[in-house]
Amino acid sequence: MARWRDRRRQRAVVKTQVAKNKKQPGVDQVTGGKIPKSFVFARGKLPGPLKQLELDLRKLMLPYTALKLKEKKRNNLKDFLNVAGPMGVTHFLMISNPKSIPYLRVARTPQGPTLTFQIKEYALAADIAKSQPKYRCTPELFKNSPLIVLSGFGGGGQHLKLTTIMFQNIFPAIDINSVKLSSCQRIVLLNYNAEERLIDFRHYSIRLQPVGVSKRIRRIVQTHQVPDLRNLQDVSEFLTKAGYGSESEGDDEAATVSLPTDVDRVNKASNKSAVRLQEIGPRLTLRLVKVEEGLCSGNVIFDEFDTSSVFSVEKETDREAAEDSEKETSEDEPADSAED
Amino acid sequence: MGKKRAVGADEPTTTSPLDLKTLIREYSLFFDQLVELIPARFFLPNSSDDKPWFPGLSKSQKKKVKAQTRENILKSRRDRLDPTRPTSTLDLLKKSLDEERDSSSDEEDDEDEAIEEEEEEEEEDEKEVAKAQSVALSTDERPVTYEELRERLRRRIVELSAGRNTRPESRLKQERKKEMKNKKKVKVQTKRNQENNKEKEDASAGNTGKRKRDDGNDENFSKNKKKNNVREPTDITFGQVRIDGKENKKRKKKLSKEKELERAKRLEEVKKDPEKGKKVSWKAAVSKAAGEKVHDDPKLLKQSIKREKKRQEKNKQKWRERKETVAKAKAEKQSKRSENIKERIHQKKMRKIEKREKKLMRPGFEGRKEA
Repeated sequence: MARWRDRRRQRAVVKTQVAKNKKQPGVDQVTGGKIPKSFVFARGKLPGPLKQLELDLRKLMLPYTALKLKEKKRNNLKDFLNVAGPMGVTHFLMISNPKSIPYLRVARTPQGPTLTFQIKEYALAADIAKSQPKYRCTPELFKNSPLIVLSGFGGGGQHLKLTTIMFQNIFPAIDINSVKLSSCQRIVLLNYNAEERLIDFRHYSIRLQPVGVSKRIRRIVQTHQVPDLRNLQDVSEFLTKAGYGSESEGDDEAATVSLPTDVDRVNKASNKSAVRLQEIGPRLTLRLVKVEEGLCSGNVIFDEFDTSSVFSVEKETDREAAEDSEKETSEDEPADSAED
Repeated sequence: MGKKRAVGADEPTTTSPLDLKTLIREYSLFFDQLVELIPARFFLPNSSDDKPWFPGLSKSQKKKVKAQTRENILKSRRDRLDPTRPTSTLDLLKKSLDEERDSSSDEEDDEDEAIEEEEEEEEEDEKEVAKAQSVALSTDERPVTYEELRERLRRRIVELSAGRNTRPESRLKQERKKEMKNKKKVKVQTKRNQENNKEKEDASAGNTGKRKRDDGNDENFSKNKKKNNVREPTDITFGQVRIDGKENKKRKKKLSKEKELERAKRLEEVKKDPEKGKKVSWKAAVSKAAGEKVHDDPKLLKQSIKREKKRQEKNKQKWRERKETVAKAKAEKQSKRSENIKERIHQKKMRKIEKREKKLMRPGFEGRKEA
């Protein structure tokens, strides 16, 4: 009996050790900077599609986010803040739906500024998956954080500059000299439309394909599957039959890159490879509505619909009351502008 | 028969001095050539240095000898490649004989000297003849070949370096490859790639001034080439990229908390002012978004000052307590110790008295003094 008990205790000890090893690093080994982590959660009750959007955003932010974050109805912002400190979480992404208008708030944890975006349109990852004939989305894609590219944010306005800096710091920095090309597998694109003042948010997966190699040969090299030569007289027919090269040979010269290192079996160094992006993940169209100095509190330093005045709002004590009061002031205007 | 005998008898006996000389000369030449074939270090007696005996030396002596060895090696290497030095065995033999002659000139007899001199003269003659017979080119060109050798060496070096690829253009290519890697992250525009590369790297460093210039260029360009639907993306920024591992963040001076508090209070005043306040707020917001800590809020600063004070108080208190306990423990131990010592002395005395009294306390003893 004693032996049995000891064995159980031993197993328990081993379990905790394994769990400890899985802790995420706080500091990037390569660049030495702090790795930014994020929480994605909802404020208030969300309808079904928005809940799904929240899950999609969580997947997007992997690996440096809490995938299975459990939020209860009674959790306040303060609770999240208290947990965020010890865990090293730097950003909050909050989705809320006051008066049936979805908003996304991006905030920097300790005291940071809050950017409030109104989600004008969105498409879920599941919808995009169904709309594509060949949807490729493996869990391995989410083992590394995505790259981010912002376009069109250069034209004046402090708020745009703040947005770029905010988004640039949500994802960890990469060191050009030592990054492995095979780990850059996802990319997030943000495009600012100056006339309509809308930001397009897209999420793609990156795939490299060697240029100038016919599809059949590429398939053999990649999948190591023996091809079907039933209908052919000779192996040379197999190699020469492809004829048109790869199906989209009319690619622009610019979309091909010559790689500095080997990426995988097919894409070798100093060979030309085409960069293929396939959309995964949610699609959003956002409009920057408000910038606050504190975390959902403090001075409002930018207001989309009332640019003349800068007014201060009381600190958020009661979540719902404060939210309603804030949204009211900015929602009267969108109602007006919508009418226009 | 007489003729035959005469012919046969004449040759061995009548050896004229001239014939003898030529005969000797021929033999001597033959021997010289044989000597030439033998390498110098086997033929010549090893007389120059005594064989160095290293193991029995002290440290400093060993050092000296080692230095000497190194020098010898260098010297021999230089001499080996020196074209003016004699290399053939005959020359070295002659040299050694010269040295011997010099060293033992006083001791030797005249006869010996004379004999040696004769030998030397003959040797010299032989040597010259041998030289003339042997490779003639080397002797004539000895003083000239040194320069020519130098020239040849220079030419060879130039040839080799021309063959190697040391042009700076090849280095540029490697830099371009790195840029390509950066480009790979975007679905790229076709035309303005090279210009945009430079601008991209500037922009990604987060330099606002440069970006403004970039915008100016881009706007002009886009105005010139504006199409209705297809608008080329003009300015692109990437995520955080670290180039060359440079960590030259400017270390701002760390002010003490009180000073920060004053500064924060002043900033609050400024914020109320509309114009400057805006600038200050935006600047703070941008640096906060970038991750730098901005100590802006006087309330929080006050809290942290208070916390620090409390912590210091607590530490002070702990230290005081510790000192007390240590002193108390020490005092206790000391007192206990002195107690024990006293007790021991006392016991000793008592034991002695006891012993003395034991003798006197037996029943029926008469000699006790006290009653």
